[in-house]
Amino acid sequence: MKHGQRRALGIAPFLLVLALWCILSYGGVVRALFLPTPTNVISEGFRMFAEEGFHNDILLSLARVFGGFLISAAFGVPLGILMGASRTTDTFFAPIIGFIRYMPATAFIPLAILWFGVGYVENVVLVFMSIFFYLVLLVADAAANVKKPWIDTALTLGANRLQVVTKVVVRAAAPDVWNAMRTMFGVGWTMIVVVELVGAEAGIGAKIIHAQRFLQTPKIMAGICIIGLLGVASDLCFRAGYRFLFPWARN
Amino acid sequence: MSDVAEGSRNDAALVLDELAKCFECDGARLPVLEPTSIRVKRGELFVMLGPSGCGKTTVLRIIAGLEPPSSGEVRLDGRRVQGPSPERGMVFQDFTSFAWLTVSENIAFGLRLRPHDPGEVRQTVADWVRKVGLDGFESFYPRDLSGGMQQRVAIARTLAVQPKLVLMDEPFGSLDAQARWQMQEMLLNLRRESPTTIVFVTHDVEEAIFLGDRIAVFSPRPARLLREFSVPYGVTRDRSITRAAPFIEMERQIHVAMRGEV
Ligand SMILES: Nc1ncnc2c1ncn2[C@@H]1O[C@H](COP(=O)(O)OP(=O)(O)O)[C@@H](O)[C@H]1O
Ligand SMILES: [Mg+2]
Repeated sequence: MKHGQRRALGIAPFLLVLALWCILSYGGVVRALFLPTPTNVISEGFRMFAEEGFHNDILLSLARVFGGFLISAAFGVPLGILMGASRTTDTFFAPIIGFIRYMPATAFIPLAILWFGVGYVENVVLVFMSIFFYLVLLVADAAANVKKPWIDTALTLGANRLQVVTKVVVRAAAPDVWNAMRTMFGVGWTMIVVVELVGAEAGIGAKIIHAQRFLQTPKIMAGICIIGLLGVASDLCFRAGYRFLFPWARN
Repeated sequence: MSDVAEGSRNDAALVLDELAKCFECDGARLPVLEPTSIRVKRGELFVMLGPSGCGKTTVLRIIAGLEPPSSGEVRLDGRRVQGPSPERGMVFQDFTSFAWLTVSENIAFGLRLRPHDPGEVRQTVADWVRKVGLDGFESFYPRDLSGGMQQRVAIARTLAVQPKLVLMDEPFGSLDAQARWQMQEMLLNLRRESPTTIVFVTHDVEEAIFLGDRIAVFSPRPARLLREFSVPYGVTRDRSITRAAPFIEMERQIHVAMRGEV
């Protein structure tokens, strides 16, 4: 298939959804309260930026996600590498992490509000809860799956255990680690919106729940679309980062 | 090491003393190597020839120190092998070039693991790039190299750290016939320049005679030493010897030795 054809095939579903939306809304099949028209959503979206400072909410949400994400990565990646490289470390941490992982991070929202009050610390803690444990296990997996012959080669060339980890395991696992971070960033992004829906003064989620209270459906939909666009944008950034950081990797 | 003169640092005498190996998994015992004794002289290219699955890789891994023996021991220059060491280099059957390093960086890998002078490393790497015929590919990543080139990288990377003993596990096994011939001739050339002690594993009889000084023929698993052959050629060999009578006669005898035991 040609590149152009593939692109057309990928865009088609968007057009189909848009067409369906147009028929239902412009055609008056569904009431505007439940499904506003695309033009209405777009104009409301612009108004949110122009008059309500929606970009500040976006920046706020981003700051919260990045806070939780960076802390998760700073601790989760080294811990995961250590678990992947050392049986003892893995035996110690894997059961507890595997246990906590199955507790939905959203269930911690009430507890986090109780402990930290509504605010930045609470937001970051909750994003951390949603990312950290899965990230550790994904990184540990990536590190444990490094090709054994590479490790043997390094050993016969004189590498000690530390050098095997720093010069082989870390380097070989890096692309998978990067992809794990990409996936978990998306999870953190979902989490922060939920957290903001439940209790926050500002942020994308707060704007959406506020609009819902006043039955401003176009605003809700504009907010959701913005979330989707930001998700796609962050994904593209991670992909570009991958190509830049790992020019040697096969795709 | 103290009893070895500086000048003979690159030579070694390898001894396998009643070496045996038996894998234990899930309570089942899988004998892979019957007690075997072998002596490899300094500067010799010693071939271990045996059918697939007979235990050749396992023996090399034990010599490399990557796998413990079940009984017996391996000695290099009189000292017992107890773990991997850069004095025993290994070229693996799989392509093991580090994917994230360029050709030059791959060759420099072992040199950079120890205290080193960057200028010296650059010089050594440049020498090896030339010796294995990778000029112009210095900054290529392994994904852009053919299998033959990847094995050149692996050989240069192993020899660059000047091991006393080089273990080669069917290094040309997955190459096409033409690349395999080129690599065999390159190996002979390298040995003419500096006669490193090599234990070379293969299941290809022609390759064994063309490259080897001595050939040990092993039985199917569990590997047992069936017979040893001495190859009457010096270090300068031409492809034409493979078509002459003595070569063909030795091939025949090796086949008989291998078949006689099935
Ligand atoms: N780590 C291991 N654990 C259990 N069995 C093994 C292990 N490594 C190899 N074997 C078995 O030992 C036998 C010999 O393997 P190997 O040394 O790779 O043979 P060769 O290199 O001659 O083809 C095979 O039957 C293989 O399945
Ligand atoms: Mg093998």
